Amino acid sequence: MLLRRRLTTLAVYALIVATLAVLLFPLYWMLVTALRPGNQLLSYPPQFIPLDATLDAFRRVLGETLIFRWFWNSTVVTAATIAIAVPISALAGYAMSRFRYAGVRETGYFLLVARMLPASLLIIPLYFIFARMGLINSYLALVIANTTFVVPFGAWMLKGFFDSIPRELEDAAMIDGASAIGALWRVVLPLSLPGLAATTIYCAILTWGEFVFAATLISGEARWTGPIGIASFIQQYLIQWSDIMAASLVFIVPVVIFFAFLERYLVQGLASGGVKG
Amino acid sequence: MTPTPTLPAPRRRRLTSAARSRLFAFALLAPAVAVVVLVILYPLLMAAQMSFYDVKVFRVARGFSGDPHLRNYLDMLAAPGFWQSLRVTLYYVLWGTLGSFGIGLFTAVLLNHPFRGRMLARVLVVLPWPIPGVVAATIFMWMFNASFGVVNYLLLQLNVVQAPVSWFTQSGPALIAVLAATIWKGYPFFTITLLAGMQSIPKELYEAARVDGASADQQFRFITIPALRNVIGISLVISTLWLFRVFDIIFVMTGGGPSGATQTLAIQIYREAFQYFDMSYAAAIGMVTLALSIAATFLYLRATSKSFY
Repeated sequence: MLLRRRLTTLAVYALIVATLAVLLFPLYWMLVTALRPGNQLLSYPPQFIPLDATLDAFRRVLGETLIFRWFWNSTVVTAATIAIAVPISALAGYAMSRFRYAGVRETGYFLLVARMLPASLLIIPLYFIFARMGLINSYLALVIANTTFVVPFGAWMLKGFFDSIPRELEDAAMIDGASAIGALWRVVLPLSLPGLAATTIYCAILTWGEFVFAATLISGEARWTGPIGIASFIQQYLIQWSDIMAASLVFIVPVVIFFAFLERYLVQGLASGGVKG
Repeated sequence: MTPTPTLPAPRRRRLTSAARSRLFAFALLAPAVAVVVLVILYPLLMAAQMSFYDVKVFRVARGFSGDPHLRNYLDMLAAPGFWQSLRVTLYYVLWGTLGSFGIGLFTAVLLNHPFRGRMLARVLVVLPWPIPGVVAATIFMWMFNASFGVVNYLLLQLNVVQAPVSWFTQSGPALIAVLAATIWKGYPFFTITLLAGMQSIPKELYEAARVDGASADQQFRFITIPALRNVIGISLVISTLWLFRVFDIIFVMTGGGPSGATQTLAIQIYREAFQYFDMSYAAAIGMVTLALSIAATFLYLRATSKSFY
């Protein structure tokens, strides 16, 4: 019995390791390629262990392209979107969690359904709308567009977190003289930090990798965001794979680290907002 | 004069406070509704209207002119390109869903076992999730490179193919490469939702089944899957709607080529609008895409909405 259980555990571990090896291979391959000296890259067969690793590709990419500029642009857009989308999601999620008036829940569903529309359908009219507002080639347009695609699901995630906070806490605060907004700000929000973390990382992932809006609303190499810059490598006549992989690697490091630390909140948020909601 | 009880007064105050509270609730929702109306609803109505006119990008300042007509839709139905995109889309959505659902279910079952290091394993399993679509696309382009790609190397070593496959110049292989990147990016969503669903199934159900002598296989078939029915339904809907929208992966990897073999409706809409500048025709295709997404949603929800508990 004990032996059998040990064997099962061993089998589970073996299966986990094998599965991870397959599923994470693309990331490993990106790393290995980024570390290859450029001139040997097109040698065959491929080397699975980078014995002759060098940072040449990173040096080339960081020194010869506008990569810093693009990543800075992405950082600005992402930070601004978080700063706008998370509070808007929190307000809407709070309304959905606490108020049962006719129309509140329907509004929540409306947000969710609207968000599912194909973006490539929306960018055509959106382009005109932003043009009329004078926002073409402005990051404000990108921030507004990204915010719209974060808020519906962000609100539902936060609703799930707010639902788990007892109402009595706000009632007590209001009896002590706090306003409704004060109770939300000083009592509910501090208790929903995991929910805010979940929404923040969700927003960061979406915005950091956003492509369609950045490709259509922004032009000029110096104003590109990271994904547009990386895609531009592909359009070159001679594709330097180790350079692309180095640039991609640098670009994903922040969001992957951020994700690794906040993943459990996001899982919790998806479970409460996406599955049960 | 006898003092009359002042009953109506508190009542009136209660009413106004209820009205104020209702106002507060909708004020909280207002910013969210405002951005969604500005960026989604209004453009959607504009696209719908556009699809009945002839709007070319250079004449857009003049706005809509002429009478509304169905020409864009009729042209679309007569164009082989549209039917090809439709076929590609259905194929892409179907296999993309099946592939990511399969891997998601497999990994969720694996992670549902209690073992030490499970938290770390979970982070690693869902690691493709935060990777931007453009980056996933470039990695898979390189892996599927015809001359130096690692996929061809492995296939040759394993004797699956006799000569290197030129992935991006033939229609079947190009779709496979695009699907591989899509599935890789898409499966973590299923892992997370299915795992969360599995962990909310009461343990007593499994204990009772074991007492009755049910095998692990039977427990999976008769408890796990039926209990997950709703979760599966919702996650299939979300994933399908995502697949209808996917743009960056396909656009970067193939641009819709070779000769339209990977051109889904989402790609075609973009190309009609921003490469051929026919906004109205693109909008018409967009409206059909929208109708398809809605139809797929209802189909899934009807098939999976029976309650288990």
